[in-house]
Amino acid sequence: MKKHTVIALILALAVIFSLTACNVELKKEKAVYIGTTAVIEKAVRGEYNYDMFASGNSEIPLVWQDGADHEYKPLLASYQTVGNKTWTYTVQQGMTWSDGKPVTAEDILFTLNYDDANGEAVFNDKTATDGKVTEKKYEGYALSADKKSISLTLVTENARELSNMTSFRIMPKHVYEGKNEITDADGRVVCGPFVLESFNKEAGVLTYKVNPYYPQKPKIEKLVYRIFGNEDLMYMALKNGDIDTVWAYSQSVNANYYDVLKEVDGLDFIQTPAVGVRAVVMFNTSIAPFNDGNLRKAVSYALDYEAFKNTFGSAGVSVANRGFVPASVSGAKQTEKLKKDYATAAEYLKKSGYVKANGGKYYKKDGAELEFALTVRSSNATHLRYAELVKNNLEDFGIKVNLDAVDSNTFNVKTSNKFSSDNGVGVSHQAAINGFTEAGMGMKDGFASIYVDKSHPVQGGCQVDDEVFLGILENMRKAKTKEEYNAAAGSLQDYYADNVPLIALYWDNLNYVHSSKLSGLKTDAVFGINNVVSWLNADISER
Amino acid sequence: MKKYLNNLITCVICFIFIVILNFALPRLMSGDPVAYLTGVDEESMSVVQYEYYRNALHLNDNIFVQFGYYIKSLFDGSLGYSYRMEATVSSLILSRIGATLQISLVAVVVSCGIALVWGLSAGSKKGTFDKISTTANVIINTLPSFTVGMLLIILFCFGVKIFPYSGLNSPNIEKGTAEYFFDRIYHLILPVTTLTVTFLPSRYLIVRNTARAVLNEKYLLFARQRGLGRRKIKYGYILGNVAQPFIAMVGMSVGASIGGSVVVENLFSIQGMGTLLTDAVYALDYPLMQGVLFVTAFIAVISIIITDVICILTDPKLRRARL
Repeated sequence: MKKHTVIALILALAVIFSLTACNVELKKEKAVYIGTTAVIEKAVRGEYNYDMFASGNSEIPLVWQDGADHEYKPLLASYQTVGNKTWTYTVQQGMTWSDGKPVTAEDILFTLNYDDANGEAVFNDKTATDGKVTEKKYEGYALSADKKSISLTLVTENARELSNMTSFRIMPKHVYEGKNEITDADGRVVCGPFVLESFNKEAGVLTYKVNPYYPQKPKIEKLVYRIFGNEDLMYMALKNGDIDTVWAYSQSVNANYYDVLKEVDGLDFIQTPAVGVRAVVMFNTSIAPFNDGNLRKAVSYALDYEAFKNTFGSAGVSVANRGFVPASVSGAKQTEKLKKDYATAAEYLKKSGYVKANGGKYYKKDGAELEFALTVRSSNATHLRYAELVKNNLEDFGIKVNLDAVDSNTFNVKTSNKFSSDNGVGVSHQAAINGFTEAGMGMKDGFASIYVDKSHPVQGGCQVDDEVFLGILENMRKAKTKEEYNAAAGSLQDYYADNVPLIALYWDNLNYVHSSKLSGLKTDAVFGINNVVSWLNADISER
Repeated sequence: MKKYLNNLITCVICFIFIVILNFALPRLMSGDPVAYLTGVDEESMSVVQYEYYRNALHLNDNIFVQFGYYIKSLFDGSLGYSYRMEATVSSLILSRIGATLQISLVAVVVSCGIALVWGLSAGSKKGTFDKISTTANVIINTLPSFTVGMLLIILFCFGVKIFPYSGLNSPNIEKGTAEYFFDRIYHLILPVTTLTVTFLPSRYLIVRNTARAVLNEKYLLFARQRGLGRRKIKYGYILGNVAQPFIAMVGMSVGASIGGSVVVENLFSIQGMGTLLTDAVYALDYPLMQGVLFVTAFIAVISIIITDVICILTDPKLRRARL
């Protein structure tokens, strides 16, 4: 009996070790392994997480924004403009779909028409059921005779039009035209340097191979994305050398993991200045108590920015300016640094009639304590921590804060124009904790204005609609050159500094971690480390 | 017998209540039900899409008509449609339930088997073995499944490196081959062990304590006096008394064990019902959440009913009453 048990154990161990050997064999290819916690269900175009992967390797946008200098650079197409009103995109030489057909400007036009037919106001105004009209973006277009260029004429000039093209991925007209539904294989016809080879859902692995038709040959043979159920395991795999880097859209390594990973041999970091602001206090300027500018200023002087910097920041963290926009953003203006100054805060409160009695905990006016509700997403642990520290800071100073932790939908209903109006109420928060992505910061007129502007159809959490602010936005829209735009953007930052509709609790770098064996990586301001330029330049030494 | 009939009625009432709650929740919450029922961020929805979803979800009809459509989706087996995943809920659940059952059912069976043998051995004889076993199980009982899984991963995946820590299979193995089968078992060992260790203490304790409670009964004394061996006494006499509460507990915990696999699936990056539910919760994909809750409740109710039937069949008094 014992003899049989021993034989069975030996056989079982043989199977296990032979399978372990199989896994080792996989790693001999010149492949880069990327860990992610994004969930992929079908790996087809239109699936959000898959599109985020694909934008960085196979479904390439027209242009990219270099994460190092934040300049826009040609990718699928080169570009030129006449007065920021007509933008001409010319498909780069040799660009070919993965089925061998050449990429043309007709594909760009087809994608724009496809979006228009699916509800986006591209070439036609769209009217919502409540009568709201979204104005069309373009008033016309012209294709060149060789079908390699398309000139798109905007309804109004936009000096920042290229920011909209960093995530605009075109569709192959010859595949989609005349079809209501397409196969998964057709949906995977792409024009980037890599093409999806397989998606093994059970193993949680997406494998991309080189697109033989792409004009430039990458040094690496495969990109393998390994899907992890949780970040802890993913970073353990990185430390163990099982993956070469990690990626999540619009995020980098958070400060907690950064502190641990920087001590690990064999891991390097790429640090780029952030264009987004991860930690924001947003005031609703249309209702009490923050319709009083003095209270907003008082809060801005009562917060301990060094505490935020030390608690949440990673390498490169700094205290933000009153002008809100990170110094690394092109067009950012040097405004006064935020600082804790109880005396100034008290002065602003005094101007509004708030005083603190001897021995009293909170400032009062007409016997009523100064208090407000701070709305925060309950699902976001980091935002909850920001909210706790804001509460502690302000209550130490003498302003009572009631935390209003709500689910994401309720948060949107309270802080966004679109969600609140759909529910028949206005934006109702008093102040809220939010985080603005790179994309959000640059949307519409840029410089975080969509979150401030009361008339913005979707955001507008700060509910600002005074003439000075609207005049500045008008100037930003009218700008015909980058210099004119930056001048108007400087006025906007001065407005933020003077009127405090929002506060950046700190500015931080984006920290991307990768194995020391992986070289040549570049960062994209929108897609981070997972971008076409990265994978065209990347190389990996022997494992 | 009446007790079991009451249990059956209670189960059915609970099930109906869950169905009604499932339907009502997204419609009672603040915000637009279109956003809840599609799981699609309203900001990214165009006017055309919004109207399409509103019509497709029958939100323009009165609440009773909507409930009728919901009941129809339960009876036709589709369980609704996940617009976020662009698939019927049943197809999504079917694509995942296999992975979950491979982990949770195996863990239920293994933990029950170990608990039965271990609990009977510890409960049928006072002494050091019982003390050590019971203390160990009480300690293990305090460990959450995440901790157990992490410890196993650190030890076996990153320490001695003999087991994989993610997925159900290696990426380059062809389906349907013997290699695929063994690879699957190889990948299941740690997730199943994690759940087994998590489930074991409660099962062990119920067996051990029930066995201990009958240890001084006269019929056991007589059995021992008759010279029957320990093995015969354990499995022939004590087991009969332990069986009823044990079977009832196992039946009740089958549904819970499927829910319990949420943590293990997330930990081991396995695409099962648990991760499906987690994704649905994060994406606020209510049709999917409703579907997973419905299936879990259904399995729980069925397992309780089966348990009751087994209890009747294994209890001589009830069996005779039935006859």
